[in-house]
Order: sequence, then C-alpha cells, then structure tokens
Amino acid sequence: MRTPEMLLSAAADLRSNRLRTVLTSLGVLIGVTAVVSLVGLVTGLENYVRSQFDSVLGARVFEISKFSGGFDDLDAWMESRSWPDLTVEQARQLSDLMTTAGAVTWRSGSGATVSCGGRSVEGVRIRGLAASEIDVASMSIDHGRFFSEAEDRARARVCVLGSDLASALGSPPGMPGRDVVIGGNRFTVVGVAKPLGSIFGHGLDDFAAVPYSTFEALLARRDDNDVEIAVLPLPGVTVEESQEEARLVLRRIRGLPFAAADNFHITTQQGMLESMQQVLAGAAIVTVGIAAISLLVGGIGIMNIMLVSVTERTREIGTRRALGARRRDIVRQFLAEAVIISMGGGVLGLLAGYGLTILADRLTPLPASVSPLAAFLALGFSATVGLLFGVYPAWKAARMDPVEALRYE
Amino acid sequence: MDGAVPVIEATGLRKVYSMGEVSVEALRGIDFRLAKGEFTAIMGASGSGKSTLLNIIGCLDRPTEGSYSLMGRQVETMMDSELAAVRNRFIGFVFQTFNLLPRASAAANVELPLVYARVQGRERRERAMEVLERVGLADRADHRPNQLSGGERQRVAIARALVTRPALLLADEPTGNLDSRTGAVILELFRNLHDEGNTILLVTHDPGVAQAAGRLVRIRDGRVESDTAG
Repeated sequence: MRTPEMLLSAAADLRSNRLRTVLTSLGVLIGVTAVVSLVGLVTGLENYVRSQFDSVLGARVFEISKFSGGFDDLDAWMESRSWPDLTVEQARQLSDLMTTAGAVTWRSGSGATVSCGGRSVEGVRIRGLAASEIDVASMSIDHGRFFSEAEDRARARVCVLGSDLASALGSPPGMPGRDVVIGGNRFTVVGVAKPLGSIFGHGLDDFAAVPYSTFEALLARRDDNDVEIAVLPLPGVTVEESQEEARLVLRRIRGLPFAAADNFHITTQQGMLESMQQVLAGAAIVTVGIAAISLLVGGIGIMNIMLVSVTERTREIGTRRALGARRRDIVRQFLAEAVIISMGGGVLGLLAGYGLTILADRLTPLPASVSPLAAFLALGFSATVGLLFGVYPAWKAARMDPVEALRYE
Repeated sequence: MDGAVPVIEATGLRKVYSMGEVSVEALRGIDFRLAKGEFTAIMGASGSGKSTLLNIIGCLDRPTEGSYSLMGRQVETMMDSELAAVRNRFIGFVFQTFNLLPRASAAANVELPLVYARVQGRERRERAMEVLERVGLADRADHRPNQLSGGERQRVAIARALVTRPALLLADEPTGNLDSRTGAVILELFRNLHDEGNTILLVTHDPGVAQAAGRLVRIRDGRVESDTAG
C-alpha cells in the first residue's frame, strides 16, 4: 500500500471512532501544550532578563568587588568574606594606573531615613558615590547637576536624589537647592537623577547619593570600608582587554604573589547574563522533564488504545492478510494511526500552547514567544511518541496468524 | 496459461499441530489436484481437516509435510511476504461471514485487494465497478455493509474476490450465514461464474450446496474419503 493511501485510510478509520481518537490524543495534546507554553515562558523570561540588563546597566561597564555578582554557593561566599576589603585607596590607585579605562568609579551604600519639610521616607538606599560615577554613564541628571570631585574631597554635604525619592519628598524639578535631612545630617540637594526604571520589578530610583568621602565620614556602617569599583573601558578597547588589565593592576595594588588566586571578583554584564542563563537553563531542564513525563503518559495512552483497537479488529486484520496484505502493510497501517493520533494531539497542543504563550505575553511583563524551533520540536516529539508507542501494537497486529485472526469471534 | 498446468497440485499433505506433549494430526497425507475451470466442492464433518486443507490451499498456512504448487508455483517453502503476494494475485477468498470492512463502502471494500496489488486511482475504481456490476450491485457501490442485506453483502464479497481476476475462487461455506433462498441465489452466481471459466473450490457441509459443483471430494479424519464427479 502506498503511503498517502495508507494515511488516508488510517485517517478514515480514526474518524469513524472520533471520540476515542480525541480522548486518546488528549495526553499528547496536554504534554505538547505544556512544553510549548513553558518553553515560551522561559524564552520570554530570558528575553526579559536580557532587556533588563541592556536597559538598566551599561553593556560595557564591568564591576569589581569582593563578592561575586553571580550566584555563588555558600563555600565561595565564605571564602570571599575572608578576603581583605576593596578600599577606596585601592580604587583610586586603580583609576590612576589603568590605561584602558575611560572612567573608574567606586561606590558604597547603606540605609537611612530621609526627610524634607514635613515629609519623611524610611529605609532609603544611601549611596556613597565618587564624582566619576557620572562618567561611567550609569547615572545621568534630569534636574540640577551631579556633585563635583572638589565637593567629594571637601566632604561637602550635598546630595543627588533618585527620581522616586524626589517625588516622595516634593516635586523633582523643585528639589535642587532645597535641604534634606539624611540620617540626622543636613544635606543640600544639588540634582535629581534621571529615572532608571526597575530591574525585575525592583525600583531603582528610591536612592539618595552623596559624595563618597562625605558618606564615609557620616553615613557608612561602622567597619565597612569595602567598596565596589565600576570601570568603563575606553572606546576601541574590548571589555576583555580592559578587564584583564584591571585584574593585573589590582593584583599588584593588593600585593598578591604571582601564584596566588585573585582575591576579588570581576563581574561583566556578559558574566551576569551567563549566570542568569544558567538558572534559566535549570528551568528549561525542569520543563523538559515535565514534557518527557507528559509525553510518556500520552504515549502509554496511545499504546493502550491501539492495543484495544488491534484486538477489536482482529478479524479485519485476518481479512486484509487473506486479501494480500503483507505483515509490513499491517504494521504501517497501525503505525500510521498511532502517528496521526499523536501528531493530531501535537498540532492542537502547539496551537493551545501558542495561545497560552500569547496570553502570558499580554498579561505579564514577560515578552513570551514561541520559537519556530520549539514548534518544530513539539511536532517532532509527538510524531516520535506515536511511532515509539505505536510500534508494539502494530507489531502485535502484524504477528497475528491469519488463520487464527479470521476465526476470531 | 497452459491448460496442462493444474491450478492446484498437492501431494502427501500432512499437517500436525503440536500443543506441548500432545500433537494432533489434522491432515494425514492428502493428494489433491484441481484443473483449470473446475468447480469442486469439499465436504467433511467439522474436525475432518477440511478447514486445515482450505487454509493450506489458500496459502494462509503451510503444510508440515508434502508439496503444494499453485499455478505451477511451489508454495510450501515461500516466505510470509511471498505468500501474501500469491494470495493477492491468484486467490479470491469468499468467507462464510463475508468479512467486509464495516466502515468502508461496498466499492472501497471491493477495491481493497487492488490496493495491496498497487493498482492506482481510476483503473482501480473502474475494475471495482466492473465486478460490482457483474454481481448486480453497481447501484449499491456507495453503501456501507450495514446498509446491505446478507445476500448483498456476500455478493460484494464475491465481487471483492473477483476483482483481481484470480486463478482460484476459494469459498468457505459461502451460504452458511444466509437463508436458503438467498443461498440459492449465491450458489447460482457461483455456477454462472464457473460457466464463465472461473476455477472454483467450495467448502461446505451442506450436500445441497455440494451438488452444485461438478466434483465432490469428501474428507474424513485428515484423508480423502472419496473423490467423485457429481
């Protein structure tokens, strides 16, 4: 029997038992729906992560700190904790010595209550920033100005407010020139920063930034001399080159022997993205696991029904064999049915999964989407499941003795 | 085809079924010849071995011993797929229970052997219509088996057997499931087919049916008991 003919005849047999066919394909349908929508969501999550990194953080800036910016286990974290602090002196030396850096800045932070007039906001992120922060291009100013290096050196009591905090205390354009109280000390607002937006739903504009020296003197947590350093490579220098120079220079500054391992972490956007993607890869594995289980269940359902169908149609099989069907024709007939059931479920599951993904795209901030690859895989897998679980019933059908099959009541 | 080559030439057919310790000898050495154009009936009580003989002649089963050639082809050594091809090409089966596919139209049922013979499209439909016309059911071509009477179903089955223009029509109790009037019509159809030159082997336990044939072979205990011209 030729293939198109066989497929048509298999489809006709399935049509005559419509409810059973639909119920049988349900397992695969649900499995494929789960795969397609979960893969769509994970893809969306990945796109979202990437867009967040790109929009909020400069893609070329890398950061140096004692603690890794990625996802460390406890041992790595404990080891980091034993390392000497990165001090502001080391940061200054790094800034002086590096030749591939367009800008080097350093930061520290704590928390305090900020008030202005009658209004007061608790738990505000206080950032101690070098004047070079503005050069690293991770912050820009909407109203007023950023503080200067001179102000930093003079421990001037000036500050720049994040846009959310400025709104909470008054109107952002009206804030420069006003006085605010930060942790009990009076500061003059010189500027309001441009909104940064949020990363993973966490607002970034509720901070008050003061010159680093001022911060160190008035607002730093006791015994906390550790800073985070951010470096923007010069144009024309690759991030890798600049990163390597920073590493070597910082090792010299920190007096590390030749053979010793680094006692600081350098985190690039790329690196953070990669470690984020590792987490997402974990999610993808879970997805694949769910998919495998549901497709297995679907496949067993197909096998079950195909076995019933083979038994029910024993006499038909005998008749077909008497009329000249070879074993191989019988195998192909039943395999075709199993694959059609399975792929039917696959196609419907793909559509359902696509629908769910679009829904998720509309209703959540995740830009979820179904990739052609995921669609292709879903269909491929469902066809494979049909083949795999159809083989045994088809073999059973073909193995029947025609004489016995014709005698079957 | 040379008239000298018999349609069936079987010598010393033995068939032993072994079920563990016990073995049952269903055929104990049967010699049987069937010439082209003959209409022969095989009779025997149930358990006589006539069904086993029919299965071997129909190439659905192989003898344990002995040789069997169908249209000059040695059959007992053939592989399963070769047997399928031989059944498809040389034998037209008519069953007691008709064995039509319930969900296919009369025409589609008749086309089925041609599907396995890889006859395509229009030729297949035309040949199916031709034989349906021959059995007087051209106007029922689109009916499903459950829309047909018992006699009509058996005529569709006969059309299905004829559609490959087989060398041998093999009928197993073709009137067994029909009332006597309808049975007589079917028997008349077989006689006409014989007159048109078809070779027919019919298995029955009904003496009345057996009389329609020109030759009667009686089987008993796995042996030929008598072989007479009727």
